[in-house]
Amino acid sequence: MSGKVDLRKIERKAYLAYFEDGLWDMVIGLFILCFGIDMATGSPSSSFVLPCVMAIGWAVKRWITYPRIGYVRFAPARQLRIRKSMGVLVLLLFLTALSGLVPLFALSGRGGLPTGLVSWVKEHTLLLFGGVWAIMVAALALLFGVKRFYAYAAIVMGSFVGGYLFEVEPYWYFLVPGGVIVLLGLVMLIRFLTMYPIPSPEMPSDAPAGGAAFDDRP
Amino acid sequence: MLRQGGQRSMTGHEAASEELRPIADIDRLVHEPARLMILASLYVVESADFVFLLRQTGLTWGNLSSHMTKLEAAGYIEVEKEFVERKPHTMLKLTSKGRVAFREYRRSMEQVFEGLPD
Repeated sequence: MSGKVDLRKIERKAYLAYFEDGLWDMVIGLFILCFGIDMATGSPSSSFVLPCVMAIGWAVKRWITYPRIGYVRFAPARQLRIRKSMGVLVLLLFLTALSGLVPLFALSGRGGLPTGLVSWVKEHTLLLFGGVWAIMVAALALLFGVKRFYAYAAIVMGSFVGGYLFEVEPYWYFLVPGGVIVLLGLVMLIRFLTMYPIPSPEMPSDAPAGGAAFDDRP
Repeated sequence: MLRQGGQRSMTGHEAASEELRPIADIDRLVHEPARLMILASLYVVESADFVFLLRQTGLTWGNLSSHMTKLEAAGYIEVEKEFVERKPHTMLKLTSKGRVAFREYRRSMEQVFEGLPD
């Protein structure tokens, strides 16, 4: 026997298996991408696209993910954590939307904010906005316990800092990280489909555990 | 005590010295690696379907099916029909008897190797 059997690790691995299909990655990426498209075109396309993305994501999860990796009902503690995470996620979305209003409020000159702060916000509005988005993505990583989302947060922040330094059009700040994250999600989905075909009774096991080799004596 | 699935003769079992008795007491139904993987996978969740266990354990369809039958016959797991996304779905769940058996097995194994010199 090699290594120690960690039951918490088994549970965590089972939970993380649901993030292997890259769907969350694509949803996050598309969310950012849509924002960039809105900025570039000047029309609020995201209000139409995002509900469609959510619906497609739900369908993919049901018709593609579950038949391939199966369905699990987690222990009450994990279920509670998932419900709490979703609640915090909704709150974060609300706060992100609200944070967009703060610079607007500051720029409007109302609210009695110090002049220094108003001019700083004026100068760094997009950088501030990038920070909020990066924190939002990092919060997702923390909530769901998916480490690669931290890398996405870094990509978002890096894009805003890069865009700010090289003075490119602001919509690129969103289009680049959004596009990269969607692409990464797509790669994950393709890898997931290749790695996990729909199992059938005729299909031999391909997992390293090699169940057929087990001694079946009582 | 002769455990579930055990085929050891009572004479051999009784003859085991006091020090070796914990080994003789180990539940053979749980001790088999494939079944142990199934039980460990079900122990950490509330319920799971067949495909999930297939992925987690890496067993073949037939092998998993045969082990599930044995565990179900022993009363360690139960099959539940429930609705997932409004569609009927067969879920597998560890019974309280199975949970106790798994816990006891863990304790027994810890006791067996406790203080064993390297």
